[in-house]
Amino acid sequence: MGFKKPLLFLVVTLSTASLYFLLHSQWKVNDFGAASAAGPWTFQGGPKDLNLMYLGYTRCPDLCPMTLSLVKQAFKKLKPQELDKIRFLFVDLDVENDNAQIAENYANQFDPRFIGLSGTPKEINAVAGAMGATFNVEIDQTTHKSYAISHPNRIYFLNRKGRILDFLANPDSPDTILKMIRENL
Amino acid sequence: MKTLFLFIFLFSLSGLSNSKQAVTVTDALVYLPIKDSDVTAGYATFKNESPKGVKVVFHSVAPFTKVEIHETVEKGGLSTMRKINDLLIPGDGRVVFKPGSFHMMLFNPTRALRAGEELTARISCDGHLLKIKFKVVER
Repeated sequence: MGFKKPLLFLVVTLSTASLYFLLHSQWKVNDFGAASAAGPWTFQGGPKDLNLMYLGYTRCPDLCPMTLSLVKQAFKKLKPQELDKIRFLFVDLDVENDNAQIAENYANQFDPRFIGLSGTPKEINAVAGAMGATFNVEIDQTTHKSYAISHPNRIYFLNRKGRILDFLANPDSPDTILKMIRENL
Repeated sequence: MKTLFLFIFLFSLSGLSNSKQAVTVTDALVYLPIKDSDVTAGYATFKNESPKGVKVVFHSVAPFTKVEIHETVEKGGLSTMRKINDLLIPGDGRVVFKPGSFHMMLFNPTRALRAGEELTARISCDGHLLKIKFKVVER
C-alpha cells in the first residue's frame, strides 16, 4: 500500500510534465527583434498567416538577388487574397556594412512589399538562431571586396507564431516557391 | 628565308584563329546592378570545341572597375563563394556560369547601366584575346 502512493504521484507528475511540454512546444510563440527602416521591429508586431524569411546580404552578387527575384516572380502569380496573408522578410546578415535603410532599399527594389531588416549582431544572431541557421563572415584579401558572407540558401516558411513550418533549400524556380507557399498557407 | 618567315607568320595566324574558334560563348548576360549595390554578376556558357583544355582569363568588363571569377559552393549547409584564379575549360567540354555555381563577379561600375545595353568583356583563351558581348538584363 505504501508503495502505490509514490508510484501514483510519479505517474501524475510525469503525465503533467509531458502535457505541459507538449502544449508548450505546440503553442510557443517565437518572437525576435531586428531593425527596420521605420525603427525597431519585432516578428510579432505584425505577423501574417505565412511569413517567408531569407537570410542574406546586399553585396551578395549571386544567390541572394537570384532568390529574391524568384520570390518576386512567385508573388506575381499569387491572388490578391493570398498576398494579403503573406509577407517576405529579408534579413541582412552584413551587420558591419549595412543598416536597416540599406536592407529596406535593397528588398524594395525586388518588390515594394518585401521587408528589409537589419540589426545588432546580437539581434541578427538571434534571428538566425531561431531558424536553426548559422552564418560566417569569410575574409579573403585576394578578392576585390575582401569578404563574403557564407549563409544558408534557404527560404524559411513561418506561421503566425514564428514557428518554422517548412523550408526550401536552393530555390531555383518561382513555381517551386509558389507551390510551397500554397502548401503552407 | 622569306618563305620561312611567311610560314611562321601564317602558322601563328592559324594558331590564333583556331584558339579563337575553339571557345564559343553563348547566353552571355550581366544583371543590372541593384541600386546602391556596387556588385553584380554575369553568366554565360563557355564551350571548348577543341580536344585540348583551354585556360580562360578574364581581364575587364567596362564600365566595371574589376572582374573576378567566383564559384558558389555549399559546405555544411552554408553557401559560400571562392575565387577562381585559373578557369580551365576541358577539351570538348563546357563550363556553364549559372546562379549557385560559377559566375563572373563585377565590381564598382563607373557609370549607371541600363537594361538592354551590351558590355564588352575582354578575356583570353590560352593567351589569345577575345571580346565577348554581354547583354545587360533586369532581374
